[in-house]
Amino acid sequence: MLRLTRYDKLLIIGLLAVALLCLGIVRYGVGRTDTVVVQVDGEEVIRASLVEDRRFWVDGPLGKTEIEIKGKRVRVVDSPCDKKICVRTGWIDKPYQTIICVPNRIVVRLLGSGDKDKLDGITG
Amino acid sequence: MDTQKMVRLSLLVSLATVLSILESQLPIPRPLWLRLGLANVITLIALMMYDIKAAVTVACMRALLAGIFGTLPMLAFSFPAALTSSLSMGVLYRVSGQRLSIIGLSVSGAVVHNLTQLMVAYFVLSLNRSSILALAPLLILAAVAAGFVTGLIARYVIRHLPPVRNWV
Repeated sequence: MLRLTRYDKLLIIGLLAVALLCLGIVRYGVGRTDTVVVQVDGEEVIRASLVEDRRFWVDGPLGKTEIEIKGKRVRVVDSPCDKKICVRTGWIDKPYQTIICVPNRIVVRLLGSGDKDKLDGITG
Repeated sequence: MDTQKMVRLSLLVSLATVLSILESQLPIPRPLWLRLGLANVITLIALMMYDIKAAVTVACMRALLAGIFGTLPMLAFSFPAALTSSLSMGVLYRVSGQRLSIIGLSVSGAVVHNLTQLMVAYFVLSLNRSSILALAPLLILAAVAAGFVTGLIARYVIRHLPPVRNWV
Protein backbone atom coordinates (compact mmCIF):
# COMPACT_ATOMS: atom_id res chain seq x y z
CA MET A 1 0.00 0.00 0.00
CA LEU A 2 1.56 3.25 -1.07
CA ARG A 3 -1.17 5.77 -0.32
CA LEU A 4 -1.54 7.32 3.10
CA THR A 5 -4.33 5.39 4.82
CA ARG A 6 -6.74 6.26 7.60
CA TYR A 7 -4.73 4.05 9.92
CA ASP A 8 -1.54 5.95 9.10
CA LYS A 9 -3.20 9.17 10.14
CA LEU A 10 -4.57 7.57 13.31
CA LEU A 11 -1.11 6.21 14.16
CA ILE A 12 0.61 9.56 13.60
CA ILE A 13 -2.01 11.52 15.52
CA GLY A 14 -1.88 8.97 18.35
CA LEU A 15 1.91 9.17 18.60
CA LEU A 16 1.86 12.96 18.55
CA ALA A 17 -0.76 12.95 21.30
CA VAL A 18 1.35 10.60 23.44
CA ALA A 19 4.44 12.76 22.89
CA LEU A 20 2.64 15.95 23.82
CA LEU A 21 1.16 14.28 26.90
CA CYS A 22 4.63 13.15 28.01
CA LEU A 23 5.94 16.63 27.32
CA GLY A 24 3.25 18.04 29.59
CA ILE A 25 4.14 15.58 32.33
CA VAL A 26 7.84 16.34 32.04
CA ARG A 27 7.23 20.10 32.06
CA TYR A 28 4.71 20.39 34.83
CA GLY A 29 4.53 17.05 36.60
CA VAL A 30 7.98 17.05 38.15
CA GLY A 31 8.62 20.75 37.78
CA ARG A 32 8.64 21.66 41.45
CA THR A 33 11.58 21.97 43.73
CA ASP A 34 11.80 23.30 47.25
CA THR A 35 15.25 22.36 48.48
CA VAL A 36 18.72 23.52 47.60
CA VAL A 37 21.85 21.59 48.51
CA VAL A 38 25.33 23.08 48.63
CA GLN A 39 28.32 20.79 48.45
CA VAL A 40 31.97 21.62 48.99
CA ASP A 41 34.37 19.04 47.60
CA GLY A 42 31.51 16.55 47.45
CA GLU A 43 30.52 17.01 51.08
CA GLU A 44 27.09 18.43 51.72
CA VAL A 45 27.46 21.52 53.90
CA ILE A 46 24.09 23.20 53.61
CA ARG A 47 20.59 22.03 52.85
CA ALA A 48 18.08 24.85 52.80
CA SER A 49 14.48 25.48 51.87
CA LEU A 50 13.73 27.83 48.99
CA VAL A 51 10.76 29.30 50.80
CA GLU A 52 12.81 31.58 53.03
CA ASP A 53 14.84 34.33 51.41
CA ARG A 54 18.36 34.43 52.79
CA ARG A 55 22.02 34.99 52.00
CA PHE A 56 24.88 32.88 53.23
CA TRP A 57 28.56 32.23 52.75
CA VAL A 58 30.23 28.90 52.08
CA ASP A 59 33.92 28.22 52.63
CA GLY A 60 35.86 26.66 49.77
CA PRO A 61 39.59 26.17 49.19
CA LEU A 62 39.86 29.66 47.63
CA GLY A 63 37.70 31.50 50.11
CA LYS A 64 34.09 32.44 50.75
CA THR A 65 31.40 32.05 48.09
CA GLU A 66 28.27 34.08 48.61
CA ILE A 67 24.96 32.42 47.79
CA GLU A 68 21.53 34.01 47.73
CA ILE A 69 18.06 32.50 47.96
CA LYS A 70 15.32 34.88 46.89
CA GLY A 71 11.82 34.30 45.54
CA LYS A 72 12.29 30.49 45.29
CA ARG A 73 15.39 30.96 43.15
CA VAL A 74 19.07 30.53 43.92
CA ARG A 75 22.22 32.19 42.60
CA VAL A 76 25.85 32.65 43.42
CA VAL A 77 26.35 36.33 44.16
CA ASP A 78 30.10 36.42 44.52
CA SER A 79 32.97 33.98 44.34
CA PRO A 80 36.73 34.18 44.81
CA CYS A 81 37.37 32.20 41.61
CA ASP A 82 38.91 33.52 38.39
CA LYS A 83 36.36 33.13 35.67
CA LYS A 84 33.20 33.66 37.74
CA ILE A 85 31.34 31.07 35.71
CA CYS A 86 29.23 30.30 38.76
CA VAL A 87 28.21 33.93 39.13
CA ARG A 88 27.41 34.23 35.43
CA THR A 89 25.21 31.12 35.57
CA GLY A 90 22.67 33.37 37.23
CA TRP A 91 19.46 32.24 38.88
CA ILE A 92 18.34 28.60 38.93
CA ASP A 93 14.84 27.53 39.91
CA LYS A 94 14.10 24.10 38.37
CA PRO A 95 14.75 20.59 39.72
CA TYR A 96 18.19 19.18 38.90
CA GLN A 97 19.56 22.55 37.80
CA THR A 98 23.06 23.08 39.09
CA ILE A 99 25.58 25.86 39.60
CA ILE A 100 29.15 24.65 39.74
CA CYS A 101 32.29 26.49 40.76
CA VAL A 102 35.15 24.19 39.89
CA PRO A 103 38.02 26.32 41.29
CA ASN A 104 36.32 26.74 44.65
CA ARG A 105 34.95 23.15 44.62
CA ILE A 106 31.39 24.28 45.22
CA VAL A 107 28.24 22.70 43.78
CA VAL A 108 24.83 24.28 44.28
CA ARG A 109 22.01 22.07 43.12
CA LEU A 110 18.25 21.96 43.37
CA LEU A 111 16.71 18.68 44.42
CA GLY A 112 14.06 17.09 42.26
CA SER A 113 11.10 15.11 43.51
CA GLY A 114 12.92 11.93 42.49
CA ASP A 115 16.06 12.23 44.57
CA LYS A 116 15.05 13.20 48.08
CA ASP A 117 17.26 11.27 50.47
CA LYS A 118 18.42 9.03 47.64
CA LEU A 119 21.75 8.72 45.95
CA ASP A 120 21.85 10.37 42.55
CA GLY A 121 24.72 8.29 41.27
CA ILE A 122 27.71 6.21 42.16
CA THR A 123 30.99 6.46 40.36
CA GLY A 124 34.03 4.29 40.64
CA MET B 1 18.52 -18.42 -0.86
CA ASP B 2 18.95 -18.02 -4.58
CA THR B 3 21.80 -16.06 -6.03
CA GLN B 4 19.66 -13.21 -7.29
CA LYS B 5 18.17 -12.57 -3.87
CA MET B 6 21.59 -12.75 -2.23
CA VAL B 7 23.05 -10.22 -4.67
CA ARG B 8 20.10 -7.91 -4.29
CA LEU B 9 20.28 -8.06 -0.50
CA SER B 10 24.03 -7.39 -0.56
CA LEU B 11 23.43 -4.37 -2.76
CA LEU B 12 20.79 -3.11 -0.37
CA VAL B 13 23.15 -3.58 2.58
CA SER B 14 25.92 -1.62 0.87
CA LEU B 15 23.49 1.13 -0.15
CA ALA B 16 22.19 1.39 3.39
CA THR B 17 25.73 1.46 4.83
CA VAL B 18 26.79 4.26 2.50
CA LEU B 19 23.65 6.27 3.23
CA SER B 20 24.17 5.79 6.94
CA ILE B 21 27.81 6.90 6.88
CA LEU B 22 27.15 9.77 4.47
CA GLU B 23 24.31 11.02 6.58
CA SER B 24 26.41 11.17 9.73
CA GLN B 25 29.12 13.15 7.91
CA LEU B 26 26.93 15.67 6.10
CA PRO B 27 27.85 19.18 7.21
CA ILE B 28 24.22 20.26 7.52
CA PRO B 29 23.44 22.05 10.74
CA ARG B 30 21.14 19.85 12.76
CA PRO B 31 20.38 19.60 16.44
CA LEU B 32 23.12 17.48 17.96
CA TRP B 33 22.23 13.83 17.59
CA LEU B 34 19.01 14.00 15.61
CA ARG B 35 19.23 12.29 12.24
CA LEU B 36 16.82 11.58 9.43
CA GLY B 37 17.63 7.87 9.25
CA LEU B 38 17.96 7.57 5.48
CA ALA B 39 19.11 3.96 5.83
CA ASN B 40 15.57 3.20 6.97
CA VAL B 41 14.48 3.74 3.35
CA ILE B 42 16.53 0.71 2.36
CA THR B 43 15.12 -1.41 5.19
CA LEU B 44 11.61 -0.56 3.98
CA ILE B 45 12.52 -1.48 0.41
CA ALA B 46 13.95 -4.82 1.58
CA LEU B 47 10.70 -5.41 3.46
CA MET B 48 8.61 -4.63 0.38
CA MET B 49 10.80 -6.67 -1.98
CA TYR B 50 11.08 -9.72 0.26
CA ASP B 51 10.01 -10.22 3.85
CA ILE B 52 10.75 -9.58 7.52
CA LYS B 53 13.89 -11.71 7.44
CA ALA B 54 15.34 -9.70 4.57
CA ALA B 55 14.50 -6.41 6.28
CA VAL B 56 16.03 -7.44 9.61
CA THR B 57 19.12 -8.80 7.87
CA VAL B 58 19.66 -5.62 5.89
CA ALA B 59 19.10 -3.40 8.93
CA CYS B 60 21.43 -5.36 11.22
CA MET B 61 24.17 -5.79 8.63
CA ARG B 62 24.01 -2.08 7.92
CA ALA B 63 24.30 -1.24 11.60
CA LEU B 64 27.33 -3.53 11.97
CA LEU B 65 29.10 -2.20 8.88
CA ALA B 66 28.34 1.45 9.59
CA GLY B 67 29.62 0.80 13.11
CA ILE B 68 32.87 -0.68 11.84
CA PHE B 69 33.49 2.14 9.36
CA GLY B 70 32.19 4.84 11.64
CA THR B 71 32.27 5.04 15.39
CA LEU B 72 32.43 1.60 16.94
CA PRO B 73 31.10 2.42 20.44
CA MET B 74 27.96 3.70 18.78
CA LEU B 75 27.17 0.07 17.89
CA ALA B 76 25.74 -0.36 21.38
CA PHE B 77 23.06 2.12 20.35
CA SER B 78 22.66 1.51 16.64
CA PHE B 79 22.53 -2.27 16.56
CA PRO B 80 19.68 -2.88 19.04
CA ALA B 81 17.77 0.00 17.47
CA ALA B 82 18.20 -1.42 13.97
CA LEU B 83 17.06 -4.83 15.19
CA THR B 84 13.94 -3.69 17.01
CA SER B 85 12.84 -1.12 14.45
CA SER B 86 13.14 -3.50 11.49
CA LEU B 87 11.41 -6.27 13.45
CA SER B 88 8.57 -3.98 14.45
CA MET B 89 8.09 -2.72 10.90
CA GLY B 90 8.06 -6.28 9.60
CA VAL B 91 5.57 -7.48 12.20
CA LEU B 92 3.31 -4.46 11.65
CA TYR B 93 3.48 -4.98 7.90
CA ARG B 94 2.28 -8.53 8.28
CA VAL B 95 -0.27 -7.90 11.04
CA SER B 96 -1.82 -4.76 9.60
CA GLY B 97 -2.43 -6.40 6.24
CA GLN B 98 -2.15 -3.32 4.00
CA ARG B 99 -3.98 -1.15 6.51
CA LEU B 100 -0.81 0.77 7.28
CA SER B 101 0.91 2.32 4.30
CA ILE B 102 4.67 2.44 3.93
CA ILE B 103 4.58 5.84 5.67
CA GLY B 104 2.83 4.40 8.71
CA LEU B 105 5.38 1.59 8.83
CA SER B 106 8.25 4.05 8.52
CA VAL B 107 6.91 6.26 11.31
CA SER B 108 6.41 3.34 13.69
CA GLY B 109 9.87 1.99 12.86
CA ALA B 110 11.42 5.38 13.57
CA VAL B 111 9.62 5.69 16.91
CA VAL B 112 10.70 2.18 17.97
CA HIS B 113 14.25 3.02 16.86
CA ASN B 114 14.44 6.15 19.00
CA LEU B 115 12.80 4.58 22.04
CA THR B 116 15.19 1.62 21.84
CA GLN B 117 18.15 4.00 21.88
CA LEU B 118 16.60 5.81 24.81
CA MET B 119 16.30 2.51 26.69
CA VAL B 120 19.94 1.67 25.92
CA ALA B 121 20.96 5.09 27.19
CA TYR B 122 18.86 4.54 30.29
CA PHE B 123 20.58 1.28 31.14
CA VAL B 124 24.10 2.09 29.97
CA LEU B 125 24.51 5.59 31.35
CA SER B 126 23.68 5.35 35.02
CA LEU B 127 24.09 9.10 35.35
CA ASN B 128 21.01 11.21 35.92
CA ARG B 129 18.38 8.81 34.68
CA SER B 130 15.37 11.04 35.12
CA SER B 131 16.75 13.59 32.70
CA ILE B 132 17.29 10.82 30.13
CA LEU B 133 13.64 9.80 30.36
CA ALA B 134 12.65 13.43 30.03
CA LEU B 135 13.93 13.23 26.44
CA ALA B 136 11.22 10.72 25.46
CA PRO B 137 8.62 13.19 24.17
CA LEU B 138 11.20 15.04 22.12
CA LEU B 139 12.48 11.78 20.66
CA ILE B 140 8.97 10.62 19.73
CA LEU B 141 8.20 13.93 18.01
CA ALA B 142 11.48 13.82 16.10
CA ALA B 143 10.86 10.19 15.13
CA VAL B 144 7.39 10.93 13.74
CA ALA B 145 8.80 13.73 11.60
CA ALA B 146 11.84 11.76 10.43
CA GLY B 147 9.80 8.60 9.83
CA PHE B 148 7.32 10.55 7.75
CA VAL B 149 10.05 11.96 5.54
CA THR B 150 11.89 8.65 5.08
CA GLY B 151 8.52 7.00 4.38
CA LEU B 152 7.86 9.55 1.64
CA ILE B 153 11.29 8.89 0.16
CA ALA B 154 10.77 5.12 0.31
CA ARG B 155 7.38 5.50 -1.39
CA TYR B 156 8.95 7.57 -4.15
CA VAL B 157 11.74 5.04 -4.66
CA ILE B 158 9.39 2.06 -4.70
CA ARG B 159 7.17 3.72 -7.30
CA HIS B 160 10.19 3.79 -9.58
CA LEU B 161 11.40 0.26 -8.88
CA PRO B 162 9.59 -1.99 -11.36
CA PRO B 163 10.09 -5.34 -9.64
CA VAL B 164 8.89 -4.01 -6.31
CA ARG B 165 6.04 -1.97 -7.68
CA ASN B 166 4.38 -5.07 -9.05
CA TRP B 167 4.43 -6.77 -5.67
CA VAL B 168 3.11 -4.03 -3.48
